[in-house]
Parts: sequence; C-alpha cells; structure tokens
Amino acid sequence: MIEANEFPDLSRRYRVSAVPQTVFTSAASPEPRVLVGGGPPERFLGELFTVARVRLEDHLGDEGSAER
Amino acid sequence: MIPERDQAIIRDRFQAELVNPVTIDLFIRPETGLFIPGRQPTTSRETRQLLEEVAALSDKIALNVVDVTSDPAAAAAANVTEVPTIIIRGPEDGRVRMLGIPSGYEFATFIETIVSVSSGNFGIDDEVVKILDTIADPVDVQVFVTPT
Repeated sequence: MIEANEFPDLSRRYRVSAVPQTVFTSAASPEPRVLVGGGPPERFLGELFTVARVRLEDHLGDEGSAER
Repeated sequence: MIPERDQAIIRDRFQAELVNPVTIDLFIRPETGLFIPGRQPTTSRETRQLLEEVAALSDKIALNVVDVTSDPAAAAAANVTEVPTIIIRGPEDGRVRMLGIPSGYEFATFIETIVSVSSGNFGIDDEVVKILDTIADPVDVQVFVTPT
C-alpha cells in the first residue's frame, strides 16, 4: 500500500489519477495491469490471476478436468 | 497522536484477536532540519511516533526502527527504496508493506493488517487460497491510496 501524495514519483510512474488504484506486476507479465477504484473482489482476483498467468479453467473442479 | 479512547478500543481488539507475535519493521530517515536540495521532507518522524504508540498497545507487537542513512545495508536487504516504509511480519514473514504514514482512513487498514498477519485470517475463501497457492512467480500488488 502506497500513500499516493507522499510518493509523487511512484504515482506518476503508474499514472495514478484516482484512488484507490491497484497496480499488478510480475516478472512473468511484461505489462502491468491496472485497476482503478474499488469494486468486487472478483475483479481484483481477475487482474491478479491474469498477471500471475493463472488459468482459472485449471481450477474449476469436475467440469474443468472433464475436458482434459 | 492516538486519542485515549481509541487507544482503549485498539488495546481491547489486540487483546482479543492477536494470536502470533508481530514484528513491524519501520524504515525511516531522520529529518536533520536542514534543507537538502533534491531531498523532500518525509513523514518519518510522525510515522515513528504513531507506530510507537500502536506497538505500546500490545506486548505481541515488536517495533524495529531502521535508520536507512546509518544502516543502508538493512534497507537494501529488505529491498526498501522509500521512507517511511513499514513491513508487517508475522509467522509467515513480511510480504505486507505500507509506504507512507498510515493516517486517516489508512490507520484502520493498518490496524486490520496487524490483526490479519497475527491471526493468519485474511477473510479469503479457502477455494481462492488454493488457487493463490499455485502461483509460481512472485506478483507485486501495489495499492495507491490517500488518507482521506
């Protein structure tokens, strides 16, 4: 968590225009994913899984595994 | 900095909900009072005072203050590049960081984080935790906030 006013350089680097703004980065994903504002946890997890290269269909239990 | 009434509420909350010991590392740069070109003043002093008051509210909380000017090696080892940086460490070690003073609304977030790290309960569904466990490469999640 970063106090945006105290660290203007970091805020500029990630083009923070409104808070909260969440920036997801990973060595596995070249481009950061950005989520502006709050919203449901599903959106947060969606961005997190995208950056982490997690394939949700691998985790959907019976329906997911039946296809493989 | 923390009003007496709030101190009592937080003390009770810590008493009831803290499970494992928590160590808070605070990286600061003491202000010299001199103007140094290119160096902005930081909230190091206020943050230190605030965290000392919070740490005094439970014997399960240890505060470890690091001066990055006299101990740059410790800052480098923890990958700390900004001050003040707060690292909250429990039994699972410290992946939760706050940059800047946790004041205003962020003070509540700070207290919640201490409780979560100590108890290991982040209120996340077991199903989701299972998926999170499969993540191989570290992901950095930076949440930009303001105190109001």
